[in-house]
Amino acid sequence: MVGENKQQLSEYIDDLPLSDEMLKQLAETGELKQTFSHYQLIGQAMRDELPAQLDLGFADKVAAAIALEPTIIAPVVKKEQPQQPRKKLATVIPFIGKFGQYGIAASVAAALVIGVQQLNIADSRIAPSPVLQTVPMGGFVSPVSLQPNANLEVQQRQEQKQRLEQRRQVNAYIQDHVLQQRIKSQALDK
Amino acid sequence: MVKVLWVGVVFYALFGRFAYAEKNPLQWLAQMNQAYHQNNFSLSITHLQRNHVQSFLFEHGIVDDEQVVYIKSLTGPVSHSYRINNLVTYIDPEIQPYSVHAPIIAIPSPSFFINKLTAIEKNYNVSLAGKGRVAGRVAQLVRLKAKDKDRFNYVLWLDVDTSLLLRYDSFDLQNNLVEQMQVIRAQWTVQPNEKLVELVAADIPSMKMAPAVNVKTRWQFNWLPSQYQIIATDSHRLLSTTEPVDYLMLSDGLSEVSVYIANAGEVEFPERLITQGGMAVARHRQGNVDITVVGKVPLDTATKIARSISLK
Repeated sequence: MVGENKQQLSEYIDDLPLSDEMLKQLAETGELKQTFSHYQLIGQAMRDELPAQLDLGFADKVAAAIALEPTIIAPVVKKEQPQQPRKKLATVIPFIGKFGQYGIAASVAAALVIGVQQLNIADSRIAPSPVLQTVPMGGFVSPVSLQPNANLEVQQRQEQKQRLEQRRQVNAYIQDHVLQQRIKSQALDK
Repeated sequence: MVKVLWVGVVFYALFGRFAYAEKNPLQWLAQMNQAYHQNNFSLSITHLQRNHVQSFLFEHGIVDDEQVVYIKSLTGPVSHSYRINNLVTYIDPEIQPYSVHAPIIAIPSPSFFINKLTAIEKNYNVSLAGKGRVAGRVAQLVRLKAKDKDRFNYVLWLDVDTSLLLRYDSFDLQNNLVEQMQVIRAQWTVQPNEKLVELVAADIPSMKMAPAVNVKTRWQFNWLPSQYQIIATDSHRLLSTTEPVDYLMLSDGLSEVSVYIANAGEVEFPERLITQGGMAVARHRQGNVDITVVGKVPLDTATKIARSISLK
């Protein structure tokens, strides 16, 4: 059944209408979903719409995230909270991990590839506030006898690496914010 | 009986137009709210954020007394979302579709200000600001001027005939355009769009639900912009970096601000920056934790929020 539908699926990705049945199957069938994402990718590649950096290891990261135990940042005061709430947490959080946060977030990730590129421009030109002054201006110690050029190169490389890491982090937060806006909107519905 | 009717018609013919012009700004907003819930319409929408434009197809209809909305992206990755009453489903490439209980779809559209009248009245001075034209229709401009410097200002463009929101612009404190939603083509119909009818009839099996979790938080704010409240709290991991965070969402009823508390990392983080989408990101290190505030608010406000957090 899935094989028959691939033709249809391909057509859909080329912007032809999608039948309700297809929509239903898409939601249900794992294999079809996989095909869908592959076709989507192929389509994008053909139309030259692929982002400069394509994160294919995304699913793995998600899995890794789920595998990790939840961490509470706020220090726990023992007196206030005895055993009970802890137990609750242990059963609830893995569920969130699988269903909510990480399963969902991929959608936002796709949207935010744009976010990263946008941010780059903002960093260098538009942002009114001083942004990303990472390496101390005059802080690189270079012995006189060594070639200053080599040092400069090292410094530049370091700087670039740090910038990339910062962008990754900033983007992670923005991505999460957009995701939370979608999920937490249920809290607004009073 | 007929006589009374005639008097009514004549009265309307004479004064109907004047009555229109005399509507006060809050009545305009109330009518916008009402019109949105009642009519069947189809829109093409563009959403502009500084240098980035996206466009959407937007269908709205009442099918068997149920409000149905369908949004499809027309640029970038193909994604669909629809809402039947209070159940919103997002279908995006590469992931399993999921649903959320929510009153609106979180994508810029004429629904942005729906059911937010109370919040608007509390935080903004509302005034009329002349007429304009958008999507080939005459529009009444309504200005929302924030009462303090902790939120962005808006100009709303309402269709004179139907009161539907056809455009909104938001401006930062320096009066720079932050974002703009604009309908470029609008069509009203007596019957709801076929697609919407099919969507309801298809009875698509329910998707995975995003959980609504509220974990008790140990953090508190010593200062918040007026009318801002904590509306959700939890602990989770950021998706792409898997960094564990304590999370609080704040809202003034119109826009949301996310507050993250994470263990202080090695990488230095810019203290203040604004993204192309007008999103402010403020970071503050407090002891051994980093506090990050993200949202469409003035940068100074984000910074103040970041600095005002403490343990209970």
